Amino acid sequence: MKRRTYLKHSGWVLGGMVFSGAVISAFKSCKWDESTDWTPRFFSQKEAKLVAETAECIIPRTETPGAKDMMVERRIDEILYSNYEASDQQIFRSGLAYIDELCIRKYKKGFVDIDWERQNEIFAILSEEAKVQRGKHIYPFLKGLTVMAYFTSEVVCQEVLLYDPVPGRFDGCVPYIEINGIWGLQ
Amino acid sequence: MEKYDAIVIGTGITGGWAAKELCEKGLKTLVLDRGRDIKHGEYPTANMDDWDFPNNGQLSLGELAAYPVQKRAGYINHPTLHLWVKDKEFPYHEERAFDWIRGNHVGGRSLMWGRQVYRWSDLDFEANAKEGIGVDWPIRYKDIAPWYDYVEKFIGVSGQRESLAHLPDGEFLPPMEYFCIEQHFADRIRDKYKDRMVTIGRVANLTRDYQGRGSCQYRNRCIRGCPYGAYFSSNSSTLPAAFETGNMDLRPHSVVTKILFDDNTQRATGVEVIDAETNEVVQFTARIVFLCASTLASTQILLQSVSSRFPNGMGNDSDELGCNLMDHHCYAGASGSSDLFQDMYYKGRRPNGIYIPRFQNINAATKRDRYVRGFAYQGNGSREGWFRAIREAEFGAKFKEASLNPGKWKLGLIAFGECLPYRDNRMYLHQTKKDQFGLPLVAIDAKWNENELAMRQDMQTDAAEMLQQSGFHSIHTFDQLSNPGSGIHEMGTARMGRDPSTSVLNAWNQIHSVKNVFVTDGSCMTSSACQNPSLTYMALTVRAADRAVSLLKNKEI
Repeated sequence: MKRRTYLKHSGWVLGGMVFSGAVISAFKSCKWDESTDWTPRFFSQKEAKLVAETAECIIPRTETPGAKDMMVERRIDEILYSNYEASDQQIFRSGLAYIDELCIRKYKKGFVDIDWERQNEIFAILSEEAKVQRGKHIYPFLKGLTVMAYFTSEVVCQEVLLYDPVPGRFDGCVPYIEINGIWGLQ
Repeated sequence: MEKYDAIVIGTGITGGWAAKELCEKGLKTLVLDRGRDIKHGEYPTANMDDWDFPNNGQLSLGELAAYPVQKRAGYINHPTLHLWVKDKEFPYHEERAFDWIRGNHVGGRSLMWGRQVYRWSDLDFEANAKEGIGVDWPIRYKDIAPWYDYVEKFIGVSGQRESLAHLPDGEFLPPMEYFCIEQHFADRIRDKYKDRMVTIGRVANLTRDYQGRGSCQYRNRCIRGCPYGAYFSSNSSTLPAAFETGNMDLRPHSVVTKILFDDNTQRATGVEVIDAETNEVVQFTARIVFLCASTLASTQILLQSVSSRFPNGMGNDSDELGCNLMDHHCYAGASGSSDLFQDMYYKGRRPNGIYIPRFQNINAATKRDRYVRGFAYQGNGSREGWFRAIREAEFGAKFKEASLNPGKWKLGLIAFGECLPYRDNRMYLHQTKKDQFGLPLVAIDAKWNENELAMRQDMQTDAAEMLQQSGFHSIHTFDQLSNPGSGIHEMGTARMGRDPSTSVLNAWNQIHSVKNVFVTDGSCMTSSACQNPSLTYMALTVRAADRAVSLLKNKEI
């Protein structure tokens, strides 16, 4: 049989979580509830807003859409609800609370209420903390889910990455300038 | 009772072949499968993107709970959900953990298989005899070689001729291309090692239009079924050919409970079937029976086929029926990164990898002290995409833009190791547990033994060394030994042999003591080699079918 990719075997350890091959494949592409009256299944509305703001710090809008444009908080909510055990869900939830605590300690306001510059300062702190506390910190967990949710979304797959559902041929060695982008589908 | 010339039990990779060959040779043939029918083209998810599925294709933990065994293999998701058995409906007993990964439908695992096809050689067929392990194969390479040709010409195999004695060349369509990093690796291995080489995977995917089927479109979605018919499956290839003759009656939803036996003639007379939809019990008669239900299911049927002549299962005079269960042990190897070819990229998703044929214990110079037999590698080059962004500490606009460029080239190697036949590794019928049809559950009691475990260190270090010798860096080894069955190459349990007192089948896959029953799926295997086994199953099937028809003509069975 075709083998699971090496990815599956190496595992991807993020904040103590190993992303199983199944979870990875779920993120290969994403479509989620885009209606305006969305109700989260795992997050509170407040948590969902916090996730959206933090995700935008990780992948901000540039010439291409940002994490908020892709509403990655909805996908993260869905995957946490459907595919994570309660203990992992709790780690994520506590981590979100920690981000807000950090902001309140430093700026007397929650993450969603501080400006972009300060949000980025908080993220710089989180990323430094995560380097020391490997395996337990919210930063790699949040970042992993954000990156996967963003890059596997339908719009990003089709418009930011290169989308070629029926390549018709395989060329294993093509000058990069002829392609000039990275493939969306794996 | 309906009368046929032949009955074929099972429609997977061997059942499809038996159906085609027997029908084309003019036999009125009843072809049975316990699952539903899937006609070629009925692949509902083949053209869907993952975002077209609930939860993006991913099953929730709750949904996965209905598939406690199938989920172990990691292939099950919304795109393929309809192809795996719901474990709760098809239970078996694990005396020791054993992954029985399967699909009950017409076409069986020929729809989901990995399509890697490698010939065996006399290194494999002679090994048992030379080493005094198990029993001798009753055939040699020359007996099966023309049938390898025959099968390859029909199924379409892309590959590169390499003139390697222990991995014989076949009838190949043009090979698929290497990634440049793979070409580099292949060149280096050729320079650095006298005893090792790299070749492109030999795969039953078409690199040009062939036999009325379309060329591969490089979507790498084979496991969902291919609307182009670009890889070989029973559904796309053998069953349509059988149907075309007008000689095939295909009967899905047919659970075979036993093969019927006539004490006077010492021959099988037909089969008994439970209709899975109506629970009606029906019998069909035939002059010959081809048992191709898959390794464990075929032996289950034989064990259920008791009579006064065979109180312990049809053909079980040797008491070997159910014993000598084998699989391949895998998921050990190494991967590395390269800084080369940063200006090169690729187009298309190749459903194939590279192959490093076995290079241990081939001759005196390649002798390994700690184990007999050996392993081969399957591997893949790849270029990192956005996925690497997960591990990086950075965030923000610069990080995002960097993630939109390709990363480094990588190359990973995973070994597939031979498993020896052990009498103690076996399946049997459970004494008390029954399935939904009242049939005894298959019970499995098998484990890896010393010889398998002894090669796993080399599987890692040899891979790492070859990567290092080829200039890769950041090399990681891994060893994730999983349950027997996880190779999804389960075989043995009704082995071929020369001596009826130590084997179940003869050199033509006939049951020694019931000459009109041919067992040609993985259950017939006398040893496991380390090559993917399906091609050998197919070649043995067509060889047996040819024999069966000539015996019928000569009225010898």
